Amino acid sequence: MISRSSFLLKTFYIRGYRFASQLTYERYGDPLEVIQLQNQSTENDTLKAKEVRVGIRAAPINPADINQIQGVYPVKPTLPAFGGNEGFGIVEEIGSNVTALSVGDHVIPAASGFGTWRTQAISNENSFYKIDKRIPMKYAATLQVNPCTAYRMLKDFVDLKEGDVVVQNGANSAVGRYVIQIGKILGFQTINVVRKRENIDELKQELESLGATKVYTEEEFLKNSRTIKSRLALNCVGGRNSLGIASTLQHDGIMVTYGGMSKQPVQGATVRGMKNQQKIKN
Amino acid sequence: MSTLISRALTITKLGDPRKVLELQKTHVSTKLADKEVLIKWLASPINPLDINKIEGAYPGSESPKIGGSEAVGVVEKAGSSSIFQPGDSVIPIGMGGDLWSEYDVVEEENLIKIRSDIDLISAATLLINPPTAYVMLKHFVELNPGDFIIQNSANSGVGRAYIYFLAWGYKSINLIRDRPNIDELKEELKNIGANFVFTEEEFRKENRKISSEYDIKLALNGVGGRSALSISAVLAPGGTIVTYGGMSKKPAEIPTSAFVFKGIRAFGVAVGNWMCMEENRPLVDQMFEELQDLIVQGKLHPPPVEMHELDDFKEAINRTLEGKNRKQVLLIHPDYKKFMAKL
Repeated sequence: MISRSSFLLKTFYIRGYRFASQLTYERYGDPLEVIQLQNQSTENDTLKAKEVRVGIRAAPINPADINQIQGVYPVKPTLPAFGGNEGFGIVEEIGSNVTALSVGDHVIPAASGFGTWRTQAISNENSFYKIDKRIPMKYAATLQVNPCTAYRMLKDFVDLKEGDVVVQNGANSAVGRYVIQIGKILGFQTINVVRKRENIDELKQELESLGATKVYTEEEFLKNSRTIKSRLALNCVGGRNSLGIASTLQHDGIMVTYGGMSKQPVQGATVRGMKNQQKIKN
Repeated sequence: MSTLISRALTITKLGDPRKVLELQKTHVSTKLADKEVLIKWLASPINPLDINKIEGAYPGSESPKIGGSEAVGVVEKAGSSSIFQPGDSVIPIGMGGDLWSEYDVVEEENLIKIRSDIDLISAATLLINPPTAYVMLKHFVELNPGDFIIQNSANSGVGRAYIYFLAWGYKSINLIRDRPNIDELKEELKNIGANFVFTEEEFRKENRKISSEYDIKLALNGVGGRSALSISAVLAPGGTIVTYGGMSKKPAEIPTSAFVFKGIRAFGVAVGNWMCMEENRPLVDQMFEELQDLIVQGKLHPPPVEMHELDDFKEAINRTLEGKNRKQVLLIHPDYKKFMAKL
């Protein structure tokens, strides 16, 4: 499991000339081999009327970023490409006709695929989304992908009411943790399935302190699933696990699939007549 | 006489259909409440779901229970304020009745009157398969003439009904299991209107070509397992797969990437529930009108069948369990002969 890392980026100066650094790749392959660190002078970069220059301060390495560089992610940017899909930056310069942003604004990319592993980005103002300045950097850098996925899945598919049960697998993933937290704030119960591991009690406690109603290992879940009645199931694992969580859905329940960690296809029980729908990440 | 003796094919307990079915004599009261109807059931097919019910693998499986999930019958006697008349041809709404029985007393709200010019076999197989195909085509995706739909289990009751509905202007890609006389079956399906017919294995070789050439909006799944994977993998972005059955007895598999990156939606359908809901009755009535019009116009035919009198039920069950045979139909009350010509 890739642990989440972020790195801090700074525009730097050499002998008074402004430089930007970027991590790029020209071909797919092992990230350790194909990623190149490039330094470029940005002295002569001029902004068009509607463009802004953003200094990107922090960007995470998400599993999807690695898959993208490996060439096994279905969304393929044109090569050569910058790595990274989300991050946090500060507006450093604005073009003559920019209306939505001011210098000093805190921003995140407005869409996926922006290429955030670089210290400088020049783009049209609507490539960025302004955020509250009080959001700390680490949160801002990881705001766009996972919290939004969790939020949209909880809001867009089933009209959930207070007390409703949401079942999810991969509950200790980034999205999973946001589902627990946002779910708790909105008043839903979350039943969370995780893989067994050595310090399982620690993990259970951790997720419960975030607001999880119940945390089961896959084995425990199989024993208890018959008693669970859910309205929404969130799947990022696939295979038999997805079958398991889908089986808790009541009439008109929906399972939303946002990932496939097991690399097995999603399985859905025939008899239940349930709806599975999808959610495109971002 | 206020009771009739009726023979009924009964599921004595859940298990092997070859062992647990018994032809029993039951007593049926002829004293009817105002809105009750005494029905003579004439013919009923053995559908895959009937086998599943006997085995206990279908929701609502119970025993002891008289078998059957769809049938055609004739009204023998009607309650004092019933809308039905003796001689009316009827099919049951919903699949929970005691259909493999010569006589049965039924609440009139659980029956639909059908036209007297529908033939016996079309009527006996009208309730489940054509409506399933109909609902899948009409209620899930907005389809336009020329649109491509892919289905597995294409030679099943539902599969064939769908092929007839191609007359509404759609194109079909049909998957079937391989078998010894495969070319014969392919011909048969093409003759009733199928555009492409592949075995499951052939399709795995062709699927890339097919999905790049055609925009497939809808997949109809009656098999589950890897077959569902095959047909859902070729859906165009935004496409829909509807599951109505699981002949393979394996859960339907759908690629994660189809969900996440192509925005596939997957639904299930069970017309039995839909038809029984009060609020859907006008839609249901309209659907049966449309289906019967198609039958009378010669545009919708039942699947090929083999018929067996009730006494011969063991042979009918064996032929069903063998698989890859024609649909087996039980002829229940001996009066079916009277109605053969008429119905």
